[in-house]
Amino acid sequence: MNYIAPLSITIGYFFILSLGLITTIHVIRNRNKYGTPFMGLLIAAIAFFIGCIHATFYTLSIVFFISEQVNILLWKLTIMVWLVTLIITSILFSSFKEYKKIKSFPFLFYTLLFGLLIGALLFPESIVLNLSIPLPSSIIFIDPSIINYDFNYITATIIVIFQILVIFHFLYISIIINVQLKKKEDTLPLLLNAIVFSIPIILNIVYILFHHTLFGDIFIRDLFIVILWISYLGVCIMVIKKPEIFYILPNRVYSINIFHKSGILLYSYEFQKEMYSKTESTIWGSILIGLNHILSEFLDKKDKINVIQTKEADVVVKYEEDSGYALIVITNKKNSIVEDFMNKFSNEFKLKYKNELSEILDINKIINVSEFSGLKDLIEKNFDLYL
Amino acid sequence: MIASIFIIIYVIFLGAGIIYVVIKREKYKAEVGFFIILIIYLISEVTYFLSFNLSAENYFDVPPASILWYISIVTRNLSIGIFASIHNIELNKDSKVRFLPVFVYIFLGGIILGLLFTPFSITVVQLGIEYHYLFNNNGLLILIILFSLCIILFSWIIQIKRYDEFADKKLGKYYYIFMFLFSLQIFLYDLFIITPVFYFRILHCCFYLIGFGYFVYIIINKPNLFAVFTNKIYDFIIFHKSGILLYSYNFQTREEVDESLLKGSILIGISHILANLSNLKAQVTHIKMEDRAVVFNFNTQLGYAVLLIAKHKNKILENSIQRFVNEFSQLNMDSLKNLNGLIDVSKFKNAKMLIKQYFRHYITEK
Repeated sequence: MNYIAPLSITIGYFFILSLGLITTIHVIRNRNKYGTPFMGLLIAAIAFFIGCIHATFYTLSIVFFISEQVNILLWKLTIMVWLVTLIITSILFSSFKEYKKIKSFPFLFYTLLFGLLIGALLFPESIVLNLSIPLPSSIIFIDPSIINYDFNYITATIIVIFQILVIFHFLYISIIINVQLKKKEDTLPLLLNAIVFSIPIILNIVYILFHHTLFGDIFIRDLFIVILWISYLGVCIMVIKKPEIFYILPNRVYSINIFHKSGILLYSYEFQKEMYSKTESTIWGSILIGLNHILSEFLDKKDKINVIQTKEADVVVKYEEDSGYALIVITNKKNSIVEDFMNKFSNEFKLKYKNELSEILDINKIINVSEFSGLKDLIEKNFDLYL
Repeated sequence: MIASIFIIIYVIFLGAGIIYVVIKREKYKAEVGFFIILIIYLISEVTYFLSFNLSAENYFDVPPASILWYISIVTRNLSIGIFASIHNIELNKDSKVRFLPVFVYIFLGGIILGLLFTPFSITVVQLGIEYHYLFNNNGLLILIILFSLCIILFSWIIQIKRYDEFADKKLGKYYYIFMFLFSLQIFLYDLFIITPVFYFRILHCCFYLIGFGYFVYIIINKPNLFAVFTNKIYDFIIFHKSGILLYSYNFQTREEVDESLLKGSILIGISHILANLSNLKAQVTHIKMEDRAVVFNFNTQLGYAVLLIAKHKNKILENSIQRFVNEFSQLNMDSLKNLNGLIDVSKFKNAKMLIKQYFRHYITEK
């Protein structure tokens, strides 16, 4: 028996497993570097699923013969884990566009197809083990070229449709973000990620379509795993070394304003000054004065303004009743990334200017806005992704 | 024979409902996406009831009867799934897990479909003049029952927990009765497929028809069913760009009010925002609050703005406001163009008629 192939896959597996574990732990520990902690966790989940779970099931099902039922079960688990990984990757791609308000429509399709796949896999004939040698009586280390799995048409069709949808979904999101963003070069890493993820998916589709042929069973399946693991290696290195290419912010922040409850502007910071003309600032100034009047009415009341939408921008409002101020961020599109950053910034602001804020809680006191001039660093620290 | 009777009654209810809705179509409003889902739901309901009854009759051979039985299972899961999803999503609007029940239904529905098309999942037995269907695959049977149970359980939890979300409380009460009939017919269907006893089939069909007839009654009685389910309008205000309040209507008291709920600072604030009426880029379109939304619509030519305070902003509301603004502008063009000096706001009382015309669904019972 040829032991070079199973040994190579086993060595490759241990390498990928170690890499998967290292990457997962690294990303979880540094999850804030990946846009938001949620995105960091999604990246960690993808690294864990491909590097640890998928690789384990895949290796066990093709380099070991345990028993016919166990091997088929392992192969079915490999397929399911692969599709779950693709769903998580799709959530990650969707979150680049909408973050927490991910469109549910594509995921309803994925859920339906995943349910259909489980239903099909529960049928005993859905996947058949095809061994080129007589069935061994005990567990053996086996040459992957003699162990093959045949899919029935329903199972194969569902897997292929699922993967085709995923590729279209990745590319659709990349193109939409490219169209929406003014800085086209910012979207290149996303497009690159979409292509890197699509190559192994395409190879898997080709393998499922041609698995009945000898060429398909041996060559494409092995090529799929080799390409997947090589891409995985590259992606893991980039995840650790250059986390910034794994997120893209689909919106821009124009300015941050902090108003005292009396209506006085405590601090204002403008991002991308070149985008602001003087006329726009005047208009916004007038609107902010109006907004400020509204805020003063609502600041001690239950029903508060969350966001004001204009034709060109969203004005996101965060109240801090106890500290007596409102944080207002003007962005082209409100999303939860901005809200998360606002929460984080507001907490740090309250902590840093605790004494100053408590002094001006009484609206009859004179407010010295110069006390807040050091806020620039805090804003730049918390909103660094938008600088 | 029995199938024919059920089908005839069903067609009468269905025909009456469709004819009424078509004749009184101007009373019914729905967003396009929602309307498409309603059509799919209706088609699956009709297909289910016809195929379920016809599959039992022996004037078909076994293969076509089995196909009808398969169709009835698929369309039944689809129809109860769609109904429960619409109900759950609408009432769960503010929940973080709004779509979770829908994902559970789709996932279970997918597994059922996958298992249903595996060979020999069902055996057909002829007893007397009827066909009976036995499930060979216990997993499939358990999943169908689990699917039904999930629908009943989630729908009741959401119905009870989110009853306050119903804008029209009378509609909410109607839904309680309908939910009871809906759950009962699902329960009887499950009993029938577990023990293919003839009487359970008859009882299921009877309660199905009662439920369907009751739903047609709700549609006739409550034309606002598709538009307001959980939405509510609180106030409708018309401001001139100078900051003067031209007209205000309170939907809760159903009265015109001279002083709007927006007082003092808010009025000054809105007036500042309205001062930028001429600048299209900075025009405010929508203010979202924690429990309500303010929708703005500006008429830059005539220099006024309409503010509508509602629970949620949606397309139906925006379209209604736009139509209101168009007609209000046409009716009051001369008054609005010559608005200077001493302003007589009584000229704009005709807004009430337009509000009743375009927002009648939202003038609900208390």
